[in-house]
Amino acid sequence: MKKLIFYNDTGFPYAALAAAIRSGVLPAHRPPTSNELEQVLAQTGLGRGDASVYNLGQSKQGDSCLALWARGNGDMIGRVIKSFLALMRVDNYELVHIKCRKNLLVKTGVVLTRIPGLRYLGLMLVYRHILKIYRELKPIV
Amino acid sequence: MKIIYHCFGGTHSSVTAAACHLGMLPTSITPKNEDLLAIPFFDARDNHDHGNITLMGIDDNGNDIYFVGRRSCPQLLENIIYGLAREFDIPPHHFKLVSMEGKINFSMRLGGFMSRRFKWIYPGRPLVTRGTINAFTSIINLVRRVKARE
Repeated sequence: MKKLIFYNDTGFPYAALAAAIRSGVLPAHRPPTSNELEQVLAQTGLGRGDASVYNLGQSKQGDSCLALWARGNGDMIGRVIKSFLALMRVDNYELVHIKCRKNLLVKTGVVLTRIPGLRYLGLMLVYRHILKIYRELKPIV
Repeated sequence: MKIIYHCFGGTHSSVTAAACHLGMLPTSITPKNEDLLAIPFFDARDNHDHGNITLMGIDDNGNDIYFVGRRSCPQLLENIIYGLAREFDIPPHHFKLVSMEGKINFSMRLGGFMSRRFKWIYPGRPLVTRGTINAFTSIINLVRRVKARE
């Protein structure tokens, strides 16, 4: 069984969402509910990302779905992953670069989630954004 | 074991440390400009090489010695490598990350930036070489500690 490594460098956990869709944690045939989305984001957080590796479960084919993200340095992240796994003689993996971009809606939403009392509103804005880009994410995974 | 030295650009301090580890530079005396410039990869790597973990050689104990540039994000490199090692069941004792943070002086930063970012080889290269010579004692002390812990 291989491992799928989803990554992005836009400072939002799109890679985690893509991995969750692939592993079946988020539905592939319909947009997720806000509760489903919140469960995934509770696991990974909404931060800019420090390239920590998250395991979002296994796909139907038995492939492990890993996700990591950061803000910037996407080119370097790809090279680190490829060269480290090559020197460890690991080749049973597939690297998937997610190229979704943040918009004003999600940026505002992420800021609001950090303010006590406005967390729910922030999550709603993030949810609206995810619904918009969900169609973009599904074909990638 | 695979020992990976990492610094901002992966072309000055980490390359010097890897060269010291492999015995390419004298450890008892301070090297000269020509000694440093003769090291493979010294002041020769660019932005598009950042993240490429490169083999420098194999030491006397059979350890593979690597170096890599990770810009100003040591935490990012460590998170990726330790995270992948955990997920791919790579035992932690199979590799060691050695950060060159704190071993770099102002001349190295300024000279390295001029030489690599702006391609001002002169005066960048003489400046970074002078800085590396000044920082050599702390670099060699770090390498000695790494070798002692093997």
